[in-house]
Amino acid sequence: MEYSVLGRSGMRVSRICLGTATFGVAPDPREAERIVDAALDLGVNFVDTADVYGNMPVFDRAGAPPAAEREPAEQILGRALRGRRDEVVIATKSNGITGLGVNDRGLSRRHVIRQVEESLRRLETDWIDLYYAHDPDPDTPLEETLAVYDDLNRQGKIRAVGLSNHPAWRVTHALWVADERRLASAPVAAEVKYNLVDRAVERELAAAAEQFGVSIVPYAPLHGGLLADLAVLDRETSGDQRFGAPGFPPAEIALAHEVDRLSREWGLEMQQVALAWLLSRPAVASAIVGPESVDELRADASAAEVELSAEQLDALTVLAVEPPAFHHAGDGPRQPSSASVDA
Amino acid sequence: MKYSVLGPTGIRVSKVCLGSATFGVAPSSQDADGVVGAALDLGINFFDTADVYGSTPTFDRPGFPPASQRESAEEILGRALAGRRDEVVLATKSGERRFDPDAGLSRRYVIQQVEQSLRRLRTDHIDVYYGHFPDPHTPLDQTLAVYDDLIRQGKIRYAALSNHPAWQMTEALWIADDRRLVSGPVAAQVMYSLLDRNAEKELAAACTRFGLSIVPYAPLHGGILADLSVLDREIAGGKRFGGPGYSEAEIAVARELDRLAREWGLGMQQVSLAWLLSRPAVASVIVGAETPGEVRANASAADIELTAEQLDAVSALTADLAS
Repeated sequence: MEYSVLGRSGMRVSRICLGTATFGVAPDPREAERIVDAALDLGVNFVDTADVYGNMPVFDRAGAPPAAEREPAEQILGRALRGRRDEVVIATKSNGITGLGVNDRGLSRRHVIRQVEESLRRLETDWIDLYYAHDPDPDTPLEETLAVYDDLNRQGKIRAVGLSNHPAWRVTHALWVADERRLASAPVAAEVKYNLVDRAVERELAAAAEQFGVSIVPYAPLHGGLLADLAVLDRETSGDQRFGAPGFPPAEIALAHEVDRLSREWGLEMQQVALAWLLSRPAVASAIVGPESVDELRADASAAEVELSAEQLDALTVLAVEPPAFHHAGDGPRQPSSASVDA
Repeated sequence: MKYSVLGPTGIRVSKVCLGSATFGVAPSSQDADGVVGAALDLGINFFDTADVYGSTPTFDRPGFPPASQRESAEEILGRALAGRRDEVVLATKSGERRFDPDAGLSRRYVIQQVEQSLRRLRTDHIDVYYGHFPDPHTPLDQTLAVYDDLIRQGKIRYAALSNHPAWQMTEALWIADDRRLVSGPVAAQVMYSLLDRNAEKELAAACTRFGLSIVPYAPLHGGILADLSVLDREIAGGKRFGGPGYSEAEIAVARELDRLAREWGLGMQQVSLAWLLSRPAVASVIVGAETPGEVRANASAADIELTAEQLDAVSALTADLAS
């Protein structure tokens, strides 16, 4: 396994991070424990969870028990890590809806503290290594949330702060607030959806993350399985269908076929190519994979050892469905259609 | 004419701003006076130019003198505004590197360009001074420090940024706050229209949060959102700036918009501009009118109020471009 330093935290995290969103569904709780064991044995030391993972109805699937009868992913993970807690960097999050009460969500001091306490209990630990704001909360000023993270850090309940699904300007604003108020909660990581098919991150966040030394931690790096194996197209539940959304559009399937073709040509597995490309992108520290079996985990973990040549990386980078970059980096504006000038 | 307060400045700018990128070509040097005069008469008090406008090859067109033989847009605009300088909010820029490898946002270059712009514009102060493009070779704090000095010297009144991503706007505000500069950026000038809604991905939320104005350029997407007859012109759209013409998808949106405008008894350019002016943080739209008639047609949009239903119908035409 290879490791990256996570932002300015000094913590080393494996380039492959084990995601747990569907723990309790696929894998079921027993397979989940085997996956966690195997991950540790492979050198994966970075695990990603959230207060709402595992037992929310969005993860419901035919053949699995309904949400109300499932354990939270944090609880399965905590049990699986018994005796090996010190070996791993645990990331969890809050802001998802956790109950019927009007305050059972958000990034308020009240809710955040309660969620941290509950996560600590479910994870069977007394500290969280990386604590994310799961999504922006339009109702709580960022200053308020960063202040509670600062307190939690000083109380020893969390070690570092991350922002998930936040636009680049909000990440920048958080760094500003933390700097101005001398908070120990400047974000060290930004968790976002990012893969060969979905490169929205490259519009703004990648450049901001590089400028400020924040790590990008992509989720859905295989785009829901499409970039792992074209066989997912034959599965009942794949892609965003795993989270209750529709399947893959034709342009994405066409791109995946291209990646598949290149991978065969290079004698590599498709998921190795997709993950190695992603790990080569600026500021990307670790990619969160969601294996449903030990075999899938092994296949994903092997990508950390794959080094693609500059030519191979370029061949993948040009496959973008839409041109990603803000329209004028480098030495002058990109020509021609993104014109440089006023009407 | 209607006016907006520009960001945190307290100054009022007309909701329609006159652009001057193609001054010297269309309108020609001689006709520019008429275009500027028409704008002033209509209550337009916001004029946008740049050190590189008019006389760089970007604006070359068949039948016109080559760039090296054309006057700069600033000179033409300065002459046209003679005697009426006090009536207007004058914005100019520097930092486009397309034709000048020495260009950028360094202290040395910015001061040089400000001095030259003041001379060409025949004035002793610039109201709004933009960094035209991000300069990867000059740290933003350097550029903001020179803008701060220029403000204190009285040569510019406000600093602003053009074509900068939302995170750099935010960083600029952070730097200005941290170093107690007189002014962070007060406005973001970006390409923005019904056919290019990238500004809605991050910038609109950031500007709303921090109280900055967005000043869109190309609000009619090079003419296609003004009048379908531009499709018959030799030079329209990106071609005005050496780029390609319109895509099928863009033409299809324009036809739909044209249909709505007719149904509502409005000009298509009125609907396009009124929609854009209704978007969050948008203060004033920069139009590149080539004739006094086009100035009048564009200026009339400031007085149009679309209903919530009409605005929704327009937004829906390109909802896919907003996310």
